[in-house]
Amino acid sequence: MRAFVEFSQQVLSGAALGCIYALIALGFVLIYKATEVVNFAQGELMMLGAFLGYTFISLFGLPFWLGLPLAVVCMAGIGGLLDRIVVRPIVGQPVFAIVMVTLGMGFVARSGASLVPAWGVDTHVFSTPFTGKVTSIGPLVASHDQLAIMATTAALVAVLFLFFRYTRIGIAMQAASQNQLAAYYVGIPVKAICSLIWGLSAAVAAVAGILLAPIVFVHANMGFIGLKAFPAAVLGGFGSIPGAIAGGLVIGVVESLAGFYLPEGFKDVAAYVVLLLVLAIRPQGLFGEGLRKKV
Amino acid sequence: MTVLIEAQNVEARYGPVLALRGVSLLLREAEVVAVLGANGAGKTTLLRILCAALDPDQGSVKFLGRDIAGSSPDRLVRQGLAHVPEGREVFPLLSVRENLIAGAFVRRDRAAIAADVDRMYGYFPALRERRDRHAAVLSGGEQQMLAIARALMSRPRVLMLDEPSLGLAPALVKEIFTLLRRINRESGVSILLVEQNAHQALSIADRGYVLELGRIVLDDWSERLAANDDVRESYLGIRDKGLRGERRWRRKKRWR
Repeated sequence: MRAFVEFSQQVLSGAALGCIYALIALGFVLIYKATEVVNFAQGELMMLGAFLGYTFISLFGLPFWLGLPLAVVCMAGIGGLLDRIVVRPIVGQPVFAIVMVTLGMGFVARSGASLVPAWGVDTHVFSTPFTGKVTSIGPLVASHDQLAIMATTAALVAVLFLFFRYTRIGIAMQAASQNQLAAYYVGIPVKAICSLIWGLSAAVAAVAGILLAPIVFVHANMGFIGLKAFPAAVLGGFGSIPGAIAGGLVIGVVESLAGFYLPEGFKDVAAYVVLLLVLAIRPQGLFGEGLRKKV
Repeated sequence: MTVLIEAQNVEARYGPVLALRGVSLLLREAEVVAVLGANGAGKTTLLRILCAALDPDQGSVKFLGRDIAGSSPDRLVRQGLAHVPEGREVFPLLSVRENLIAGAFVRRDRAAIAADVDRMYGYFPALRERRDRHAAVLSGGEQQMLAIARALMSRPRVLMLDEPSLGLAPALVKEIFTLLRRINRESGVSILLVEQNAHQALSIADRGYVLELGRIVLDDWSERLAANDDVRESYLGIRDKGLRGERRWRRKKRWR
């Protein structure tokens, strides 16, 4: 019985962390589907979102429920601008050029953040309404931070699903990501839509950053968590939104279990071991689309 | 009748290759005009230039009296120019209904859009049956119908089609072309049809142009084009007997 409780407890905390991976992976997937750019700076977008949240909530003393949306909106703007200023001029260049640019954006964001006087290279903490509270579910203990992460992720995924399914802009985003040429021909301003998608995934990253802040603290290098989210996206079959969510959860849970049951060191490689196994058996990923995108 | 599209002396080159050499063309309100030509004649290039996806190296194109230089396909759609690209290009992972909704992106009148979706199902009953299927699983003919319906969803004044008969069974081609003529009569949309299938194209067009190696070599009313010896031989596959009662390997074309 005790073994089962321990196991469930690990699954629970793994799932919470997995939700963060899932949100970052979601950002990878959104941008990749629409623009065929792999944005290696997605983790850094999350880091900036967390810092903005820290600035608004801890430094400016705004209430959490005002600071959170403010940080999210600011990050959406930054994401859109990044697309307009940095990415759009190099679209159509060789893939490695685009990869280098997004990697470079990550470096710039990391050192830029540590140059900001109030941010620096220190770790910061800010409290959310969930900090320090726990709920017992039978023998299990869940912190409110973890529950908030899971609830927010679920809500965000539901909202995104409805958005892509039923709104004019959502359908246009799908159309633009499936066939850019045809999207132009039906009057969809593809470039503006791409900027919107960058804004959307930066906003999702900001939510992830602020949710994650109470667990791992805000730090200029917290964006490296993107390196775990990347296998999550690949695991789900890069290009599939449900796949990104499932991939994130799998990686989070496996990592948590490996950290608990296996010798030290396995925790950090667990994500990649799972990735290799899945790709060996199912190369297109868990939710990979059999259909190839036409160029 | 109002002139909707006016191309003057359009030239286009891909590197050293001249794809269009001084093409001029007119499309008036409510007209159906066919542009005939073989592979490599420059048909697709011409359409790309007319919808501003490609800039001409020389010459000018006016849509509704305004020069389209510097415009883009999405802006021209807002002004009433819809384009059905070659090879259908539907959105594969959107349902049929969502494809149609995407086609109405430039409009915001929800009720009228819903009514137009129904109108399209009326024109193309096969689409109604498959409205919740992904467009990728439709047959070629159904995808072509969807591409046409999607273009009509923007309520265009001009509908440009790039080889709608490509890869379709003859009976289906006839059905689609008859429907195009009907849509033209009912809604007054002008149609510019680029085709290799001269027989079908001329059967619904008012006028036609013959494009050969980037040049317009003939333009006339459809009936007269259909009766023209060179068109009959080159595009309609009808062979007349030569003077000596036998067909020469290739008669020299005169284009007059």
